[in-house]
Amino acid sequence: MSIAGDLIRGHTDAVILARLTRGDSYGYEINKVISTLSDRRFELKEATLYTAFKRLEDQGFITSYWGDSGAGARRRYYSITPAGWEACFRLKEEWKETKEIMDKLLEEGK
Amino acid sequence: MREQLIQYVNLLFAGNDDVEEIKQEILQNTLDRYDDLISQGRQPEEAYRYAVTGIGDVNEIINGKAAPKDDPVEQEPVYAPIPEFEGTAYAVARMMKAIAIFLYIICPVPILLFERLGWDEVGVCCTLVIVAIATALLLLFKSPSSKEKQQDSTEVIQNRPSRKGLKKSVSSLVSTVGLVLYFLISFATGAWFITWLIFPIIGAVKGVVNACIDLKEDI
Repeated sequence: MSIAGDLIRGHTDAVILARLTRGDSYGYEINKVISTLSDRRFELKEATLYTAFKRLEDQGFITSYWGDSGAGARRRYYSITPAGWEACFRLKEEWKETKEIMDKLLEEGK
Repeated sequence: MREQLIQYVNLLFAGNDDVEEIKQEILQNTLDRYDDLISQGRQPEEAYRYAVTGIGDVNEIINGKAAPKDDPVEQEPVYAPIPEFEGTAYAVARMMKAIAIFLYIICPVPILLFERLGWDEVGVCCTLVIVAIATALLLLFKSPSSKEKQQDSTEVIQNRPSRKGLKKSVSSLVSTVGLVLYFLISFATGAWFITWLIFPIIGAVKGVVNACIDLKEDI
């Protein structure tokens, strides 16, 4: 989680946006899915998560609303905006390109 | 343990009433994590520990939100020990300065004492050693926080140039007077073999004056 964690953390916004394209969600749920998908090798801190939400909201990529669920727990839900979808698509393309370049740069034998 | 977790998060955001919504959100996420861990069969202590480490550093959020207040002690209760440490370093530097000044003042004593015994050289050596020790103290324990202090306090920044000028003019005055005294005394007494002592004394006087100015600045 140490070195890979730093690298992934640089793509926090893309990860959150990608999660929200699957439907509205709240902080812990998103983090839980991130943890599960990464086989418990990666997880975001609450503070990092919150800062990213704030940043994405300021950029108009996500919106938030307070929702009640179950035993009186008030949760802040986030949902992705059309601009967010666009940004998510762009970030995915950027990542594909980055990955392709890195693969070539790290390839041995040339 | 759940109650303690709530208290912990409340404490993290203590003194920042304008971040209530952020606190609620982070508290809810942290409680969700705790409940989840408990439901997985973890011990409450363990779940508490994981939940707390999962929060991370909230200072950035608080500082970003409550930007106008620039009081690090109020906003970073978690880092309380650091300012304390700086305080001790500062106090030590002050004490060393005081000791150095004391040494400068008493440095002629060996000359006077050993003169009576007829061991002039020994007295001079002792005086020089005392001066050296005092200077070393001043240099080694140069107030570590003086720079930060100047950054923190606008008052100090405003006063700084004039004080620097004061130090310069005082030290050049002392040098000139010392040089004049050296020639006057030397020609008058013809005791050239000992009058060079005026120069270390000039240095000592400069040190004392500078230290006095510094001390005044600190207070």
